[in-house]
Amino acid sequence: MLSDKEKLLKKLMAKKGFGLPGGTAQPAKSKRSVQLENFMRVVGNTGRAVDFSLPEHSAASTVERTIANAGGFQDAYLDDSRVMFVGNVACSEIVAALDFVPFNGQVLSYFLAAAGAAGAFLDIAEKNHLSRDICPVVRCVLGAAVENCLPTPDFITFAYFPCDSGARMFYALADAYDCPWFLLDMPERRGNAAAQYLAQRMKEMVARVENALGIEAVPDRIAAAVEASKETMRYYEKLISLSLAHQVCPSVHKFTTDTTTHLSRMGSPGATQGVRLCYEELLDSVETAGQIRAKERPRVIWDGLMPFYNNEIIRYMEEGCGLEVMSNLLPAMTQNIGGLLAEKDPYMYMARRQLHFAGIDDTKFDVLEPYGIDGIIRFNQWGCRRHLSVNQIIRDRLTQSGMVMLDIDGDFIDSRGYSFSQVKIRIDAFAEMLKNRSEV
Amino acid sequence: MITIGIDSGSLATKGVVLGDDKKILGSAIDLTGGRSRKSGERVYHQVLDRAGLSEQDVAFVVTTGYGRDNLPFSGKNVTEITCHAAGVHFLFPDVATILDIGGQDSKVIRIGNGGRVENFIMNDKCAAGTGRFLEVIAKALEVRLEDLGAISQQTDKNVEISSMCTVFAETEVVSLVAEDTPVPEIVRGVHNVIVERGEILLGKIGLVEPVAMSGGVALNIGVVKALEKRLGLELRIAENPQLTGALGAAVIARNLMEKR
Ligand code: SF4
Repeated sequence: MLSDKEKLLKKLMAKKGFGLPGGTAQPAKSKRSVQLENFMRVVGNTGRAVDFSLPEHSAASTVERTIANAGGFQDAYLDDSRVMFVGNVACSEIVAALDFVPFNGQVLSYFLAAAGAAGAFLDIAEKNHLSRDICPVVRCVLGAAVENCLPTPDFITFAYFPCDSGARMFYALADAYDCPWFLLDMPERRGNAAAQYLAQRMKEMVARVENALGIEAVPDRIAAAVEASKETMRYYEKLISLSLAHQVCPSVHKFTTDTTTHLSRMGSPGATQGVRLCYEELLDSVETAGQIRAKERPRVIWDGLMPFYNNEIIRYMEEGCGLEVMSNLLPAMTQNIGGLLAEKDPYMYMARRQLHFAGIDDTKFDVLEPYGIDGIIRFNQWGCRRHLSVNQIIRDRLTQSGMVMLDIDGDFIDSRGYSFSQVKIRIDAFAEMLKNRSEV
Repeated sequence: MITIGIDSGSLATKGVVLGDDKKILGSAIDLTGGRSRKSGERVYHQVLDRAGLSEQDVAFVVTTGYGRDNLPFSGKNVTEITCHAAGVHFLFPDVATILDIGGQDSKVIRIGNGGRVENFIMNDKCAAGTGRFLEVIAKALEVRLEDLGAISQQTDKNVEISSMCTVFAETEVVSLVAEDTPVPEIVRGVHNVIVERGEILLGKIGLVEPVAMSGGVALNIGVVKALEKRLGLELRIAENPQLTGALGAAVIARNLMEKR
């Protein structure tokens, strides 16, 4: 049974010439090139569908370059690409092994927000009755779908992790594109039993893709994707040791967008390249600094996503309040990477790798001591039940260990849900408290 | 040594002069209006006048509140959370938890040694449960804000206000008036909304006794009594609870000078 929203989305998409070969504007053009042109048109460009990553287009606008560079999004608009829509929980090694280009709408919305272009899609969504209290990721992606700006997918994989709104969005998309899909039941806990369960679900996913698209998952390709993924994890391991040994961490804003992009591409050399770059940048900064830094300022973890459209809060915390801010993604990675790399069974490896990056809510506690963390800043998306439901649990656990937490409510995609003056007082007071606490 | 604290809040600007023997030499409260800088300067001069002092007599000024960055005479600006903790500790050295309900936000502060902030939490974006909420409702009921406390004591019945949003609650109150619901019962219902919010906020951070209440809403006897009943304890309240932030600022100014 289709929900009213799904029916509406389907109707709206039909109105925009959705799914018609060649689209409505230029019948001679391929479907995906029209979709890319639509995309560029909505974000305020001329509709040129070119590879902006090429040097001759170095003068292209930020939006164009962002789209080109954002996790290889542009590849998904090529007609011969096999495209899979994925969420942040992506089974990306399987995606790579089956020769799909992953298209992560969640990450796309972060990049659009960072390029100042999310507003156009949020407006479209709102005009089509997706109210502002719906998650902005969902609005951004469905807004793009309604305008026929997304590349037609060949397959869709999603999970109820981290939340059910994301899953509802994928159901709507699967229906609108009439596309085969698979719901990956993702356990919320780590551990061997969870990994075994997830490995089994991953095998079912592969069978479903094979069946729906008539393709075969060659074991060698899976093994190659697993090897590529392990190589990426080795760089994460190096990054973490460097970070811990020198008590430094990459810039929170960049590290968050980079990591979410890489996670959608695990199993492909692109992800390894990206993480290696992260590691080399950190190595450079360590070599420039010359020595292990003593902790001079209160150090906090930024927990959660952040307003992608500007870096004001984190910059203010670092420059205005004298805090050191580190990303919560580092804790997620400090977990026993060695054990993960030793895993021989490819499906168990993929499952364990996937679980490695989930359950971040628990892992942050493990780094409080090694990094000398003084407090946690949690950024909650307005109205997001997942964010808000774990807030108090984290606060209580932190309080038990004498640690403090500040929660900030805001919107990471929709800049209309953000006001710096609203959060400034909280940050100032938090910084004052941390400094006073450390003085005693 | 003379120090001054100025609290430039969203609704009112407050000032306190602290004298040599830690005595309050003068205080003032004025509406902030649209220009916090102007009201800040006005209150600064008012407190000096009331204490019979001139600017030259003042060793240091600390400013706090939403407009704290914007005051030319400020030697240092400190957040109201730190200032409320210092102010309450000055008045009631044994207090461990403060519930502060001001014009546009409410907060719970846990204090430790020497009035140091141990932990705090603020309300979310919504104005329900703050002074602004009471102001809106008083207007809808056509009564004076300062009379709400006394009005609520005229009955022991109350209606339930179900809306969590200030704007919706106002509409609800207007409908209750239209249905001839007695005003004291409505006012009690409105106070209960504030009490519930305060209790939730206290629960989030953990209530340790003794508890003080500060901020303008502490002047409302209806809210105070309802809170005391709900929490089963007696709240410590300063004579002028809305001055606590400014007093804390003056105390911090004094501490800073003593360290120099
Ligand atoms: S913000 Fe909340 S609702 Fe939106 S995708 Fe994330 S977890 Fe889901």
